[in-house]
Amino acid sequence: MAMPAQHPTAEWHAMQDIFYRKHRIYQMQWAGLDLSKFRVAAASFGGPIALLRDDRQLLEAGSAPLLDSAIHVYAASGKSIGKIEYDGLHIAGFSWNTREELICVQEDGNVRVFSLSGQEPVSFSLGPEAKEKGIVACRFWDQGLVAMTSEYKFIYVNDIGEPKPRLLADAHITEMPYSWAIVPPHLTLSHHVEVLVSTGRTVLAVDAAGFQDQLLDQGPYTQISVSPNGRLVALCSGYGRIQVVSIDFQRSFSEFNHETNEELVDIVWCGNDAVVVSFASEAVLVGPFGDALSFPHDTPVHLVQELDGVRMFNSSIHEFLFKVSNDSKSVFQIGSTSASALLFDALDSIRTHSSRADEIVRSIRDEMPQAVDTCIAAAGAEPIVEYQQALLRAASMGKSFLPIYNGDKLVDMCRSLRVINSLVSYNVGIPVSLMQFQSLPFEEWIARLLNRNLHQLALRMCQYMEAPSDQVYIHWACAKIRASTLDDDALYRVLRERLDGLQPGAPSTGTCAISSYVDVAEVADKCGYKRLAIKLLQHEPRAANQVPLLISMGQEETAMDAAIRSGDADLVYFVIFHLFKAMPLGDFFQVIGRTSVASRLFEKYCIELGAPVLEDYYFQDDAFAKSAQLILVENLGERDVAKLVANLKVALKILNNDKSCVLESKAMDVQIRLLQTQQQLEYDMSGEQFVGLSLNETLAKCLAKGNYSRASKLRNEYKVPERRYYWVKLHALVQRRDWAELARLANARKSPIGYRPFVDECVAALQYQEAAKYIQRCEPGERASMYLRIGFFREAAQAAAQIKDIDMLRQIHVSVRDPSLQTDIGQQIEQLVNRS
Amino acid sequence: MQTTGKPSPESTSEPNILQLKEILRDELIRILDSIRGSKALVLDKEISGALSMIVDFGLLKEHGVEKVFLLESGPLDTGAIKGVLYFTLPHVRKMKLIAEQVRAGLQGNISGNSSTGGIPKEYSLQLVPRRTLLCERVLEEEGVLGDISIGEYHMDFIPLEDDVLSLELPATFKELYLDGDFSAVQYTARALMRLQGLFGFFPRIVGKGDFAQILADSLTRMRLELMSTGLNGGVSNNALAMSSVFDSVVIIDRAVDLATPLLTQLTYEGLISEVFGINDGSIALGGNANTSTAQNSGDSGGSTDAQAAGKRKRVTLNSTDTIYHEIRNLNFSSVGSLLSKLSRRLQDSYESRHKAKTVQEIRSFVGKLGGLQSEHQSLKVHVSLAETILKRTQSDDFSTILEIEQTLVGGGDLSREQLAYFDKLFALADPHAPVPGVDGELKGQIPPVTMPNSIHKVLRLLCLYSLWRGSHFKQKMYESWYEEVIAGFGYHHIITLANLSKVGLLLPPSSAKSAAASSSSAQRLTSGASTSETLTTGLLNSVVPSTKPRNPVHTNPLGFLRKTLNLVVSDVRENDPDDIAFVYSGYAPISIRLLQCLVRDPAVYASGSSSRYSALLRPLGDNRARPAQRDGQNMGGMKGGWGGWDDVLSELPGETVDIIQSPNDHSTDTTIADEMVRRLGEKTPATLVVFLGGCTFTEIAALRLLSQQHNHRYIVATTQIINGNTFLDPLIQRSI
Repeated sequence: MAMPAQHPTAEWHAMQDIFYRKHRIYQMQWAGLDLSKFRVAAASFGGPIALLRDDRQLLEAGSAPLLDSAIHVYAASGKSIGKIEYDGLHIAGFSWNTREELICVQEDGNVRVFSLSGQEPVSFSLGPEAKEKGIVACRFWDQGLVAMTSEYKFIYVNDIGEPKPRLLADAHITEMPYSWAIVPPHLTLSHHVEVLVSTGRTVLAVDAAGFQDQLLDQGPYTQISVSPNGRLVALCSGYGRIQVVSIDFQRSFSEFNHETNEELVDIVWCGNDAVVVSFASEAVLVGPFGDALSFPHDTPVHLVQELDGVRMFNSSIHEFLFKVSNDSKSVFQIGSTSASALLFDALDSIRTHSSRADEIVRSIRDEMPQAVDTCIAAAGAEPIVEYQQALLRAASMGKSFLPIYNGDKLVDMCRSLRVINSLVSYNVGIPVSLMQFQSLPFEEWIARLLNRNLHQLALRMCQYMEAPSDQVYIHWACAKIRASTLDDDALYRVLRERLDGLQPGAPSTGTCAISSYVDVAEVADKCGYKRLAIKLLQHEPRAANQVPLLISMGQEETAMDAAIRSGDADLVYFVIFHLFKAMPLGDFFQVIGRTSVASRLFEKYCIELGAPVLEDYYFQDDAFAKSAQLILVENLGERDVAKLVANLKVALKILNNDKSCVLESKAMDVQIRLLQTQQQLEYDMSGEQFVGLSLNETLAKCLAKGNYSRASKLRNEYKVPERRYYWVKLHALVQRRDWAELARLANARKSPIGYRPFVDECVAALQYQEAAKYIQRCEPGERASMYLRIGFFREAAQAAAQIKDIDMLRQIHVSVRDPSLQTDIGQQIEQLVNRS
Repeated sequence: MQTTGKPSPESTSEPNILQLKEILRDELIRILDSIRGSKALVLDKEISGALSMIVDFGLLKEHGVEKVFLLESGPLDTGAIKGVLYFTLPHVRKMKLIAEQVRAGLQGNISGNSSTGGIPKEYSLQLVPRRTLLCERVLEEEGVLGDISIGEYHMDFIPLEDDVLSLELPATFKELYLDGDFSAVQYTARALMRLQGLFGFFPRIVGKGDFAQILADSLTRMRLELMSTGLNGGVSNNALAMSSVFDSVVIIDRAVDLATPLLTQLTYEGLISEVFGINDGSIALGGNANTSTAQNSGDSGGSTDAQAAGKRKRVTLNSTDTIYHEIRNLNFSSVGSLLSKLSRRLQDSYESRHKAKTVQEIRSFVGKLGGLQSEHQSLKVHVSLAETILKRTQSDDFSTILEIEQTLVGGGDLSREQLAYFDKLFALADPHAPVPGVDGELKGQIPPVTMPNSIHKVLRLLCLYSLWRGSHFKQKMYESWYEEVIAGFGYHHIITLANLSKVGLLLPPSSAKSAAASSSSAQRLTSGASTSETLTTGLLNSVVPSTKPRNPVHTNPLGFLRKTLNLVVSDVRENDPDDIAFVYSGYAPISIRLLQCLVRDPAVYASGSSSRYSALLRPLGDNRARPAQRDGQNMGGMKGGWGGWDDVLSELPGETVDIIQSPNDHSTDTTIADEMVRRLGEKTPATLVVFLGGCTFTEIAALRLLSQQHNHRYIVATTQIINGNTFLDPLIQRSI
């Protein structure tokens, strides 16, 4: 087997001691297409190329098929993979995001987002400013964009998934900038997007907070480009002057003057230290030290910036320009004597059964592990399949000379390369390097295949990489439904045939369960297969996911059930609000009323929001007690007594409908009367406030003001129980220090609460003399300790002696300070002790 | 700093839940950094305390926060600050407040109003712990949805201690059982999922109560979802492995044990909460709170500082304070003696300087000095707190309440004197009394010796009476109390009383009877839905959650439980407790007794009437005969789950949960590993106890005792730490 004639180094171009390699990936399959008639947007990661007819260009008659206003989508190999019908509105700018969605910003400020298959665009507006003034240009990053209005103001959107257009600070630009670029948020210090605008002879840095003039004087700059790591900026001025400066414009790193009279078309970064500039007939790579390599082309090339290099394509060829890695250099560089180069050579010798092979291997010896690793890494960096194979074989051979070597690296590399090579193939047309492949999760690559409807390949790749394949099945099922002409049941059978055995919990065989039936059901519903959608939904494990679709399908009751089952109150609210909007109020009440969960959540929402609709709901529901409570709560802040009374009367009337609310009715009735009484009291005792007090407080206040007769009247009027009345009055009188009245209260009749409270209240008010009066009237057993508490030792001793409480006497004996009294008590104790 | 041996073997032991704090902090900072430039924070009052436990102001400042406001009605003047960042719970009312402020701010922008500095504001809102459609809808209706960017901050479990996690969600019990809003269950489920992400899945989920069931269902469902998306999204198998640190999660729905939080807590920490009210792990002392100590101790260092400052002094109460760590869980009766012992020990430590002879000895003393001084400080604080509490506990009022409580839980009826005390309570009702734990921290005032007769104080007793007297509660008594509450506290309590009746705390006897009749006829819409079925039908689709047992065999369920679960322990040793009943001086919380049932703790078999459980006991050997010698070898882990406790479970409200989570079929590696662990007989070191609807300090103290006895860690995860006042407060209608 002979090596192909083209050795890798044939594609190398030296720049000092660095090599750049320009590898031809494809011969473009769109042969003959005149790219100059189109506006072009090419996605990175080997993504698709969108062509839109440039209406500023004249078109020859007869170039028929591309006259339409549609956006034509090609794979990177030039194979047509789709067409997005576009209804002719002027597009100010368009670009692909990392999910391979095409974002189109129209001149009228509307943004539309198309998936690769061109269906159901998402759209939103950039706001009134954009609509009024119009958009003239756009720049994009991952999920965000910045648009420039015709008045040179900048509108930015951080996430097109949740578009919140905002204006950057007004930099007072009055004429069309020569060029502008954005610094995406993840590269700025502030973590917010910034814009660099070339205007006049300088550059302005604009962000949301303000703008800063970078005070340059060599402008105007026709192109600005920010390096992938955000540290450097490349500026182009005049015809071929390229300058690289730090992002803060403080330091200049290199300058390069290209002798040409062609106009500079485009500039992108190749890695973080070199830029590629395209002119009409050549592309020039400018290195870190101002050296340059020129690559002539017969028609102008379009540049696509990748993580590890630059892709360049024109109407006939597609090339990848990248820096040669150290590993490749080590193996292939002419005259290299590194271990890896030797190992690679040894492979040839073995093939020719030469004994030199053994010699070479011997000479490598200690460096073998490194040589093997280098060969594997070089294979990863190698775009030519034959050389990949040769390198891997060399590695494999070298490995066999090693006693211990973990082969995982080799196996992983083989697998990755196999997947990459099938992605790169003309059929698929995703030219991707190992580094790019590894920087996106595997599912992303599967998703790209699915975008192109390559289900078979995607499934095989999943199986090959032992990755879950349910996204493939889901996508397949959706595509199947879209393309189907069968009826619901037949289609269901077809789908189940494939999806069966993929149920969660089924014995796993490397593949896995399909996790979401909702996506499939949704497509079924959209395509008019309603019955199929419902059937599919029954398989969905997540209640939460079923709800929105069930609602959109008009299955409200099932949706409510599913929402409640999910245990998520928020989801129930989702259903409630939908019903609230979709139904006449009466029907809504009925539906809500059927499930207590929903009705209670609805009530809570209304109460919290103070929504008047709740009144109607309670009314319809005959919820009398709740209606009355609602009125009560609503009137808590009502200061106008007449109004309050009127409203409470309404509540009372409602309450009377409910026989189980006797206590509530009574309390409400009392309150209405009380309010009226309080109003009268305020009238009679001007300057005092009564309204708002409780019944007991009202009583207490009358008493505190010495209005005993009025209190007594209140007591009768409101049938205040005796004991309560005594307590309130007692407390009030002690507070008021009205001892005469207190005595009257105590003497009027036997106290229903006993006399102990009289003592306690007086003691609490530190009125010991008064307290002593009432101690006499307490139970004999309690008296001694009460006297003791207020320090009436003599009386305490007497009381204790009376009931012959020796322990108490001893306690008093200890506390007494008066010596004579102490002696007396001592004697009493002795007497009692002797007697017993 | 702490040189004296902090008794904390836990600090290194698994699982280390304190790492959650860093996760929460990092997430918060990421959110702050996403807003450029200087910003003003506007915080929901209900989470500001919790947030302050995660970050301090210094850190906020480092990340561009210039001012912090509390969310209140009325305009917001942030001056020249451009970014306005709201952090609130997803409550409808708060959305309205925010909408008003945003509208006002935007109008200011347009008119170039000088008060807003003419700077266009950028509003953003972080919903805690979760962004909801509900809030978005309210903002949409208010017309500001486009002007404010919305995110969510997953403030899940905040580690308050190395064995206590709290969601700091207020009013969960009320939301669940009064409003029928079960959002909190979802939040708890998400928080538990995060915990499972760190420590592996709980091998077993057990619990009691309707919302415990709903929570368990959510956990099961979320795990299934994670497994199916995990396979897709490349979640590592590790995240799907069974836990090797938790043997199970026990979910206690507060409805299962309504009685416990109403009782007066008698541990030191519990009493601080009852007397001062602990908010966000600290209390505020008034400037003169320490006066008495300053005089008594003759040393006025710290307290005069506080006075000099002339404002409230915050005392943080957590286990970094070594003194507090030692006394927080003790019954208050033994706190006094321990404090004096501690002060003597401190004295000795100070004295040791005289013995220091060599330079090394002196150096080591000086090294300890910082620790000694902070200990000294803390001792002073606690002596003064204990004095204040002692004055309270020695008052007639306190002892009367305590007697009433003990009588009720003991199954007795109240004496005439005790009933007469109710007269006083009602007649001298104070509708405006400050309530510890509810109204800030009593505004820094020294708590009065006699607790004012607040509505909370009264209702706690009434509810206790209703719960424990059960069928002996007379309609006539209810009616007279109804009238007294209205007359004493105001007619708006018509709503309070209706609320209490709805959640089953204070049931009018007449309605209790009719409810019992109706519930037995229509208690389940679908019959016999088992645990596995509820996942597909959903419990809420078939029953209305209730705090009443569905099919009690006994007319007085609590009476039956008192006997069967040995709730009342007469000879509890308060100084050297051997039973969790020490936390209420002789009453054991039902919630904790249920846990003891699960782990087959002999303490629940100790009562005479339980001889029929001897079969269950046998595998434990004769622990029962020698309760003092429990070495924990046989305890502290789920054994047979609820098996054998059917009679107890039927007297408790709500569903019974017992789910065994099997390891993931796909990850064979972890299955093998699990199997190996099992074969080695390695004991899983911890059990997570979730309180859905809040738990008390006494319950935490009781679990700490069990942790010691069982040589097994019980980690508490609660929606909030409550006491009787904060438990009832959400149910009480404010006058305005």
